[in-house]
Amino acid sequence: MAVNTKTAVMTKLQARLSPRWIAALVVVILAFLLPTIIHNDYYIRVAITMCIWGVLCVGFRLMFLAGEMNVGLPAFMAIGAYSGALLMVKAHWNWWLAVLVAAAMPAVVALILGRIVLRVKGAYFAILNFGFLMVVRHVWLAWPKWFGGGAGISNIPSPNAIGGWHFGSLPSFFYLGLCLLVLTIIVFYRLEKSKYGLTMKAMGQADMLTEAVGVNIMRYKLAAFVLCALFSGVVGCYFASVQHFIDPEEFTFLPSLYLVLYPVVGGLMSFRGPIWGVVFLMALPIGLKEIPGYDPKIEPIIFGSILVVVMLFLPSGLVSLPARAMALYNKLRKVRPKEVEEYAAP
Amino acid sequence: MEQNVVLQTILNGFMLSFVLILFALGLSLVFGIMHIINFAHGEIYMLGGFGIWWFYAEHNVNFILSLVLTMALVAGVGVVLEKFFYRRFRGQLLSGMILSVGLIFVIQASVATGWGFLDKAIPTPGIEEGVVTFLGATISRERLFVILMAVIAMVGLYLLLMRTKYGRMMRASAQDADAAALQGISINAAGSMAMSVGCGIAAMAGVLAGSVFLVNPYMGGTPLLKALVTIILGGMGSLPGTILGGFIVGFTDSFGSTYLSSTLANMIIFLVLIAILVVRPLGFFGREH
Repeated sequence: MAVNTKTAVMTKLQARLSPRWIAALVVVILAFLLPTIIHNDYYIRVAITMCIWGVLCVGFRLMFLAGEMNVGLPAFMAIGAYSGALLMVKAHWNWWLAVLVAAAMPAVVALILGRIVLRVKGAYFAILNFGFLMVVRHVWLAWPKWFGGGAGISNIPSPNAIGGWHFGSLPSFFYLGLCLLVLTIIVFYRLEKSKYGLTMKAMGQADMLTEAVGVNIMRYKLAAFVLCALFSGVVGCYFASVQHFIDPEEFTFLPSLYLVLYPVVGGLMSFRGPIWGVVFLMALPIGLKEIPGYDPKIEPIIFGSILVVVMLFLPSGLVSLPARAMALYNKLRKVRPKEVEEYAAP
Repeated sequence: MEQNVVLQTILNGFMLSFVLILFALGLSLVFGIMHIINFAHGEIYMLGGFGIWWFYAEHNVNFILSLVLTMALVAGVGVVLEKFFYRRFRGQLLSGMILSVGLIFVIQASVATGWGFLDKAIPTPGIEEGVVTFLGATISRERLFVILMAVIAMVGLYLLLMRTKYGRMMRASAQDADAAALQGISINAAGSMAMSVGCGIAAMAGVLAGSVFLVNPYMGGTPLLKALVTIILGGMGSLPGTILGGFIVGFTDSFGSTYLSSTLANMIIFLVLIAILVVRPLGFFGREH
């Protein structure tokens, strides 16, 4: 008995200490050290934006497991941002209380909306989400007395100090965002590796079959929809505080296109793909700016071309590049190739 | 006075519906044959607007000639997109959607860098400015002109689809691609044709919208959303459904904007869509694909 427990603990420990885990830990530690290495405000701002998009893109993957493109996340982000901002600006709530409401509001909306939009799937679902995005944007515009209209809401405060930690400087915002991102990654990673995640994957491959063996598809998808909305709401509240200002144009059609762009370029077939997609595509403009005579206006052309090239030639995204390079190298050395993650269209 | 407003709203509704239907028919046609939703269709429409601006407003080419040139060029763009990008994703809805998102970025930013992102006006073609009074309602001549052109385009499209060999080819491929292929119809050729025709009429919609409103690189977004609502309402891939959906969306838009506000009208369109999808999840004329 004792021996058994010991081996169980050992295997668990071994699993924890696999190279993959160590690599992830090193990346997180490096990320936390970032503000001590880099003192450029612009770079820190980019890193903060990476955290925001990281959360959204990790959430995007959960629904994609079930074959759905949840492009409506910016709308839930907007609901979170607006409810948080209004509570803080008009009712002078504490940030930490407001963020709870900012998480709950989108979740409740998602719970109601999900029952309707999840009746359809695939492209229909994506389009309904685009429609929802449009409606939410018009809600802010239609009642300017409450939501500030096109002028938006300004003077949104920073998070209140908690336990000797003061917020307001860029590095402090970065630490908060990074904690949020790490939390999101842990929650969604555990979910994906659990039985729940497996069921979602099954639904993505054969939804009728999954339903036939007794899975309530609606409940599974609704849970994912609500969870993604909840995290988007939190990140929306965080975003509002970072910017100290929000307006309806921040949450339009364009962010939802970026929500497709980042994960696909990184690679939607793996968990780490979307995160690396965000990091790579956000860091890219920093590098491009160094080129003399570079015009930032052509940035979308570069992004779009990368997306098209990835779709055509690298369906598992940029994160599959090392494995592909390895396979090519082995092929050249006439060694039997290792398995490459293959893309299967849902 | 009251009747005047109602009549004007109706005429305006016809104009909005017709432009929307022209736009959405291309989307529906391509979906029917290739099972792909071309999200870059809004950019095709924008290219139409820019084409007429470049030829007609900038280089003083005759309006009809510029219209034909624009449509032909944009149809060519459609063929290129089909051949190099969409062909290999035929039948893969989500992949096709993702790919077209990439194309949106490329086309939009290319036009914005090439011609700037400011609004551009197009002078009213061939007819003098002014209004026509009809049964007590006043409507501007340019809007009547748009309605007329749209009707001509739709009749032309109807004849093309129903009366020619090519139309029969496309309809057969949309109905059953395998059976059509067994009869010797090339599905690639049908897809290519659907893209060129669809993009051509979307360009025409862009031309017509451009001559009433303004042209800018981001003009494609809102019509795209409305057109997506339209084709879902009517049932994906069904052309009669698209026309019906176009009238519903166009008239909701027109009446909502007149009597409430344009932002509320946009919300109502979405609520109508949800209400109809709850009753009929595949739209009016939709069938399982």
